[in-house]
Amino acid sequence: MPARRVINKQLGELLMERGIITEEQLDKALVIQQKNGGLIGEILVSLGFAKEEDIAQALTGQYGFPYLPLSNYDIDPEVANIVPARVARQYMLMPIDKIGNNLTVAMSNPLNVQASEDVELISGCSVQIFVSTSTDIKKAIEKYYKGKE
Amino acid sequence: MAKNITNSLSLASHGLKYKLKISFYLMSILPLLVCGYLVSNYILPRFGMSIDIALSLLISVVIAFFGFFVIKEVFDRVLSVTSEARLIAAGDYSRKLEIEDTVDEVGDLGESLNLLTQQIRSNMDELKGYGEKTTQINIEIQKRVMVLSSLLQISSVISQSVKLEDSLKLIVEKSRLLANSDSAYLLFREEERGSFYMKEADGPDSALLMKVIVSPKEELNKAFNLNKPVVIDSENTLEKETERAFFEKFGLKNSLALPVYLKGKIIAVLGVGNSQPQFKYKKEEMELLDIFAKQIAIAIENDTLLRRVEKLEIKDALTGLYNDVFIRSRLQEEIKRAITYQRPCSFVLFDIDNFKPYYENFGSLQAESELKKIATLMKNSVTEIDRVARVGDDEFAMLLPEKNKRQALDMAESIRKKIEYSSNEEADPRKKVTVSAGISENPLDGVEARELIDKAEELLKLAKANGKNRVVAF
Repeated sequence: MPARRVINKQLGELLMERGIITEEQLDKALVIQQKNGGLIGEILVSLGFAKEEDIAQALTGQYGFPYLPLSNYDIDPEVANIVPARVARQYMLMPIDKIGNNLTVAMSNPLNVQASEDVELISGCSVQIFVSTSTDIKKAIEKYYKGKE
Repeated sequence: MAKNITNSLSLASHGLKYKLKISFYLMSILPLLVCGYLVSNYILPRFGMSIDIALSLLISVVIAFFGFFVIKEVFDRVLSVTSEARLIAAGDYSRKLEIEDTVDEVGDLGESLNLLTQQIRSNMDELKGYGEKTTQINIEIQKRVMVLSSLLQISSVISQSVKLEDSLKLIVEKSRLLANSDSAYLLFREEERGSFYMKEADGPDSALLMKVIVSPKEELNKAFNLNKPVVIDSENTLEKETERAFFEKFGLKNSLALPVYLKGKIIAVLGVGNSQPQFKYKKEEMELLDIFAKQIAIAIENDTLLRRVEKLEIKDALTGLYNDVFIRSRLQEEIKRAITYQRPCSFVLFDIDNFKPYYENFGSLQAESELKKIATLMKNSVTEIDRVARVGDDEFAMLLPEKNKRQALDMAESIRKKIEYSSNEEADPRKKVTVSAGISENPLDGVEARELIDKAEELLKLAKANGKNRVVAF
């Protein structure tokens, strides 16, 4: 719980610093999160305070993760199979390429270090992280992990 | 001395015979002798007659004897009445005096005595009747006391929350003491199909009774479902077919069976029975059996409540950690939360190495204190949001939200080391305690609590197989 709050605050503050959302909007989103749960980024998007791209770009700018628009990217099913569907769904990530011992993964929240650790653990590769929007990753998961667990 | 002489001379303190003798001497013989002497010497010579003195004496004696016999006969009757009276007084109240005629006072006395005896006899009979009644009442009281003490025993067994089977067995056993029963039986009603099956039976034919099943189609089943006692005895009968079916199934000629209710529904039937000819069940027996039937309902309800409480219990009594049921349901919830927030969640299963020999060597007290020590150590090694549970005799589980496998492994490894060090200084190698552990994680190992538990168990086995005192995460 404390770990998550730190990251959420970071993302919220980041968006505020960049002038994408106001403090009031962030407070409102935090109240909703307290009440209903959910991720702060998604709440901000659902409230219309920010666009998914805004969030992805903020993360890119702040932490240096490269941005990858997944919608026009073809993924090798072999690569997809390196990460089990349930892991991809839960962490909202999508493996996109593997070169040698390097696995490239698109994530909506690249700050989820535990998720990338888990991917490294099951793949045995070192993980290269790209940022994508949640919507794009969801679409890719539906496409490549259809009917899988 | 002077008094003794007067006493022996007086008529006061001697038997009637003695008195009779005295009276004979005094009253008849001596005066007669004087009279004879006077008559023969002075009266008769005047008329020129002389009678021999001896003859006159003889006549006097004969007359005197005659008088004496008349008196003796009276006294004999008095004596016979007296001796009869003495026998009656000694306890023989069945005696009756034979009285030839009741004209004289002795006859009256005899008759009064007879009346008195009769009175006493009837009083005695009445007393005897009372005595018999008292014995009967005593037997009844004895029976009730026995029933009450049985009920007391049953209540205490129920309140001690021993196993339901044991309580039911005792109730059926005690029911058999009622109404001269040879057998007692308890049928349970199957909720879904509505058939009755034998749950418990007591008596010489219990093995036969245990096989009894009354299916829903049978008439007997309907009789049991009628919300009233089923009585079969010399005065109460069922329909001929039904009664025959009962006899064939139960082997009992007479039977009294009562429904057992729980929340207004029939859940069982408690019955007693025997095969005595011309037997009839009394109302009190029905009432007493009803109390036993209610005790069965109480026992069953108590058991249900106890199970419910056990389900609600979340802590382990010995260590104060969470219990198995709680950690499982909590794990499922935590996985749901992890999925919602796109976070990991880990589950660790610990098992103390070689705890059975430890228990056998050092006893339960030492073993329990060791378990408590390990429990405290584990609790102090985790954060506030983590949960530690005791899930088996020597098995512990940890639920670690927000931690992935690597973090869980770090934590489990540090706990394993702490436990190893904590008993490092024990001189006796048998007292050195170590643990093995298996780690699973959501989402890596699954999205259901069951999957995570299975995986952790599998890895724990691997840890044991690889030499114990280690943590296995993959």
